[in-house]
Formats: sequence, structure tokens, C-alpha cells
Amino acid sequence: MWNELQSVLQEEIKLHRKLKETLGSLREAIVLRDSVKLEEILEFQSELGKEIQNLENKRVALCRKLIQQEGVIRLSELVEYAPKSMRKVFVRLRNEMISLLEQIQREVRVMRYVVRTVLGYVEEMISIFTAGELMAYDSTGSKVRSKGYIYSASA
Amino acid sequence: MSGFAGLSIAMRALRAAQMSMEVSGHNIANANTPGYSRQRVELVESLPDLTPWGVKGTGVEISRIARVREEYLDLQLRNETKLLGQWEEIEKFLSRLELYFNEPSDEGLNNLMSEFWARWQDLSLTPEEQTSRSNLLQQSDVLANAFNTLYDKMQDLRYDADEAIKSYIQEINSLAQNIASLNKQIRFYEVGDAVANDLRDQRDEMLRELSELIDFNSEEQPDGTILVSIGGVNLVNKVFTEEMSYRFNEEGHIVPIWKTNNAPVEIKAGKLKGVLDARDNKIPTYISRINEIARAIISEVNKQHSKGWGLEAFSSLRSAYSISDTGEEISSSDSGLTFYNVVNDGDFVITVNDDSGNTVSTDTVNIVTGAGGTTTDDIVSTIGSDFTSGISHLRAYVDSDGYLNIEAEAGYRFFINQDTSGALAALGLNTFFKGEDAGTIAVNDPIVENVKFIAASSSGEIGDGNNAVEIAQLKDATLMDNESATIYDYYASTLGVLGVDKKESENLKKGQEVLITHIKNSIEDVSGVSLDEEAMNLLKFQHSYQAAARFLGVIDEMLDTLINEVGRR
Repeated sequence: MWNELQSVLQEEIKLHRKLKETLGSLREAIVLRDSVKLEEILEFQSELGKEIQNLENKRVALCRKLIQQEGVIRLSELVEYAPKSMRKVFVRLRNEMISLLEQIQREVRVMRYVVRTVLGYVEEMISIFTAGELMAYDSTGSKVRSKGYIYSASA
Repeated sequence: MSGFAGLSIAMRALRAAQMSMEVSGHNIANANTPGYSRQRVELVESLPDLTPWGVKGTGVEISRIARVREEYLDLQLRNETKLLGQWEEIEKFLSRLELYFNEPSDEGLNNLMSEFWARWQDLSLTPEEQTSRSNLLQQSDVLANAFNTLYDKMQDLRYDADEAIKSYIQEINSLAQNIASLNKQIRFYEVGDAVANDLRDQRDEMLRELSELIDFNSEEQPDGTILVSIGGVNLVNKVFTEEMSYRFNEEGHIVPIWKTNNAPVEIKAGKLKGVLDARDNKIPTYISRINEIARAIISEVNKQHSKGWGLEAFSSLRSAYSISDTGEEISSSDSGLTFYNVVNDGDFVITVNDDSGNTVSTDTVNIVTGAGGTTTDDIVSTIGSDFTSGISHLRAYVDSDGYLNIEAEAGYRFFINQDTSGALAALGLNTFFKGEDAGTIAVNDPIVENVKFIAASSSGEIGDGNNAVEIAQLKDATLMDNESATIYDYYASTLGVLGVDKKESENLKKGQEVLITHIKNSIEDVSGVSLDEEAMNLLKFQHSYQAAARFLGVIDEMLDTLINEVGRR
């Protein structure tokens, strides 16, 4: 079971690395205003996120089984229960994982800042540009023709 | 990757994205600015970091903000614009000429000439009636005034052209100054790889405006400035300009020159060329044709008129035309006579009557042309310079202004007519009109003073209107264009030529307009801002960025949980 936990952790690290790599592509798509690429990346990252979440669920379940305990079991706590021969491996995996997660989080936060700021610009420009006629465009940016309905209040 | 490196990439990304948005905004804001070219951000991979683990990408950065512009189309637009300007001007002036001719209308020359001949016809039926004579005088006056007015308007049009030329010269100088100033700014801003897009757009627009006015060559210099030359002279060279000015020619019209050396400006196309062409070629052609018509009417009517008899004899008569050299043959231009060329070999008759109307004497004056032919002095000598010499009771002299005067002694009067030589028409004695062209044609003074001097009779008999008939029939005589056309034909052909000229300039103008619209559309396709496209892009970005923001938020939360679950020590 400890071996299974090790391979789950290794797989999780692999997926996080992938996520980290795609953040660079996401940044480029934002800068290049390539909405097609941006949406592709977001979809891919979303799939990665789901896979990571599945592995994480699996890891938590394994941990609970291994130490017969409910609630949140931190990886750092789990090391103390591991067989002596595997402790070093778990410490290395745990360190690698935490470092990777922290890197990703840092990058995700700057990216959130970038996206929020750019979004602010876009929204400001749209409000200036459409000048109160926002309803004339749909969410794909296509112009919507008025159907010419006339609404009247009746008694 | 260190936290600082990540931040640096993020800042570069943010800057690039912001710039991209700003360029979009700039495009939208200038969608309706004439000459504005769509701009786009060009991005390149930024220089990679060398790390102990190898080369690491550092994202993208802005290479430059480029103008989306096709230089070839600009050049084509300028080339066609100058021709449009030229034809626009010509068409404008020809339209005004057409208005001045005012045909067909009651006030047009065609109708006035027709009325004029009709009044001669009327007079031939009732030659002794004062009313017929007064009607003829009135109609002749109207016709002469119409010629004068048309002539004056056409001459004024040439002076209007001068005003237009002056203002175009000012515009050219002003545009040259602006282009030089933009050269300076562009040179200043374009250090390294920077491109001053908006300034270049402004300069291109000014070059287009300049091409409306005049043809020129332009060449971009390595420092980003543009060299503009006209006929080999540099109008704009970097930040310097050569000023255009003007001087007056012998006719009092403006000639564009370069201020530094007074050399004339070589103008091949553009509005300036159009105005000059209208002023120096088109309008003078029509002035010349109208002058020819007026001259034909003056000389032919006068020739016939001087053959006839009025109801009353003269007590004195002053020639309508001055003689600059009385010793020269009257058939020679050296005499200074305007209509010297109507003089042939022949004679005219002077009849002297007493106060009761009895004929005292009849003398024939022979006129000989060519070298040694009759001079004004000879005529004076024949008549005699006092009442006793030459023809009794008459004397002749040339006054200080060069006019030949014939006077009868008190108690006597005279007729001077039956001219077969044209000498009287050349001198303006017993003639109906005075003046020499459309600008000066007028009814001769003696007839204005007394309509009885109108020579309607061929014989001098009461009721004879044959000379008036002869004059009325001039309308059908082929007097113009080497005796191939009547005055009517010639006038009609003048109007026809004007119509064709105007139609041609209209067609060429329209052709140029179509061509320019086509080029402008091509430029718009390449460089124009599509508001729909920009709006669509913005909304797409908004949608995508909103999704990205939401996703990154989820990821951030997930990472928080994960970091917590992995656990820090």
C-alpha cells in the first residue's frame, strides 16, 4: 500500500509539472490576445485539474487506510508512520511536491493579477466603445440585430 | 525560477497585454480620422535566461507597434489625386464659363445677335422712321453690352484664377512647413527601431493633400525624413523648406516662382496646373473666339454701313480709330489702325451740300494699297487742310490724339460714303460700331448722338432701306473661319467646343474619382479600422479573460488546499 501511495505521489508531481508548463502558454495566449488558444489551454488545464483532484482523493483515501485515522492527514505527518526504508523517499517526494505547489501558486497569483488587470482594460474599453449599446452584441462579440419589437403598456 | 524572475515575466506580459489593449483603443478612437492606419502590436520572444539547468524562456515582449500600411497604394493615391485636382479645377472654370455664356436664353448672345439683325431688317422696311432707328440703336447697345460683359467676366475669371493660384501657393508653403516639422518629429522619435506611426500617418495625409495641389517626387531618407521635390527643386529636405512665391507676367497675371532664385516652378499636374491651364489656355481660347465674332460684326457691319447714306449729312466727323503714324499706308499695320486689313484698292465719295440740301460738289477719293499706297496724310491732303484747298467747304486734320477729323464750313454739310475700299471702315468714318473686340465694341458716337446718321439707304433716296437689307443679310454670310462659317455657325461651334471641353473634363474628373475611390477602398482594406472587428475581438477577449480569471481562482484555491494537505514543516 505504501508503494501505491508512492506511485500516486509521483503521478501527482508529474501532473503538477504539466500544469506549471501550461501556465507559460496561458501567459502567452493572454499577451497575444489569442482567445482561441487561451480557451484551449484553459480546457486542458481544467482536465489536468480534474485528474489532480482524482489523484488527491486517492492519496487521501490511501493515507487514511494506512494510518487508520479520519480527517486531514498531512503528508508531513504521514512520513512518521512510513516504514523506515521508505521515509527518505517520502520526505523527498513531499519536499518536491511542496516546492512545486508553491511555485505554481506564485505563478498562478501573478497570472490572476495579469488577467484581472487586462480584464479591467477590456471592460473599460468595451464600455467606452459600445457607449451604452452593449446589448447590441452577444457573448461571442457578434452584433445582434434588433427585432424591432415595440412594447407598450396597456391598462 | 526565483520569485523575481516570475514577477518580471508577469510584468512583461502585463505590459504587452496592456499595450495591445491600448493599441486597440487607439485604433477605435481613430476609426474616423482621415488617413489613419490601423496599428498592431508585434511581439517577439524575449531573450532567454541562461540557468545552470539550461536555457529558460522568459516569455514575450513588444517588438514594435507597426502601422498596417501599403506604401505602393499611397503612391498610387497621390498620383491619381493630382490628376483629379487638375481636372476638378478645369471643370470648375469651364462650368463658370458655361454659365457666363448663358445659352440658350433671351440674354444669351445667340438671341441678342438674332434680334440685332432683325432690327436691321425692320429698319429696311421703314428707313425714315425714328422708332425703327431708335429700336436698332437700343438693340445694338444691348448686344455690345452683352459682348462687353461676357468679355469682362471671362477676363475676371482669369484674375479669379490668379487668386486661386495665390491661395494654392500659400497652401503648398504651409503643407511644406508641416511636412518639414513632421520630418523633425519623426526623426526625433524614431531612434533605434521605434516607428512614429501616428506622425507618419499625418505626414502621409499631408503628402496626399499636397498631391491635390501639385505633382512632386518623394523619397524617404534613411533617417525617416521624407524628401519632397518639384521639378528638381527640393520643396522639403529634412527640416528645411524652399518657399514658393509669385511674380506678375506682362499680362499682369501671377506666375509661381521659387523665392530664392525667382525661377518659375515646373508644374505638371494638380490643382495648380488645372488653374494655370484654365487661365492661360482654356479661357483665352474662348475669349479669342468671342473677340473674333465681335471683330467680324464690327468690321463687316462698318464696311457695309460706310457705303450707305444716313437721313442727315454731317457737319463734322471724327474717326472712330486713331492713327499712330499718318505717313504710313492705311492698309498697313504700321499706321496703327486696328482694321487696316479690311482696306483694299477702291474709293469712297464725299458729297458736300449746302444748308438747303443742294449738292455743291461730289468728289471721289481713290484708295491704293501696298507700298506707296494711300496714307492718312494723303486723305487729309485730298480733302484739304482748310476750307478752300482740296474739296471746297471742307477741311481735314489729325488731332493730337491721332484721330482724323473732317469739318464742313458753316452753312455746309457733307456725306462720306459709297466706300468700295474699306478705308472708311478702317478709319471709323460713317461707321456703325467702334471698338476692336468683345471688350470694347460699342455703337459709334455720332449714331448714339443722332440716329439719323444710321446709313440705311444705298442711294440717299427717301424710303430706300437697301443698305439696311445688306447689313441684315450679313447674318447669313460666311464671314468666319476662312469664309466657311456664318457668325451663327461660329458662335454655335464655340458653344459646342465649350460643351465638349466641359464634358471631357467632367468625364476625366469622374474617371479619376472612381479610380481614387477604388484605391481608397484598397487602402481601407489594408489599413482601415473595422469597428465591428475590434468590438468582436474585445468581447471575445472579455469572455476568455473572464474564464481565465475564474479558472485561475479555482486553481489558486485548490493549491491552497493541496499545500495545506501536503503540509509545511
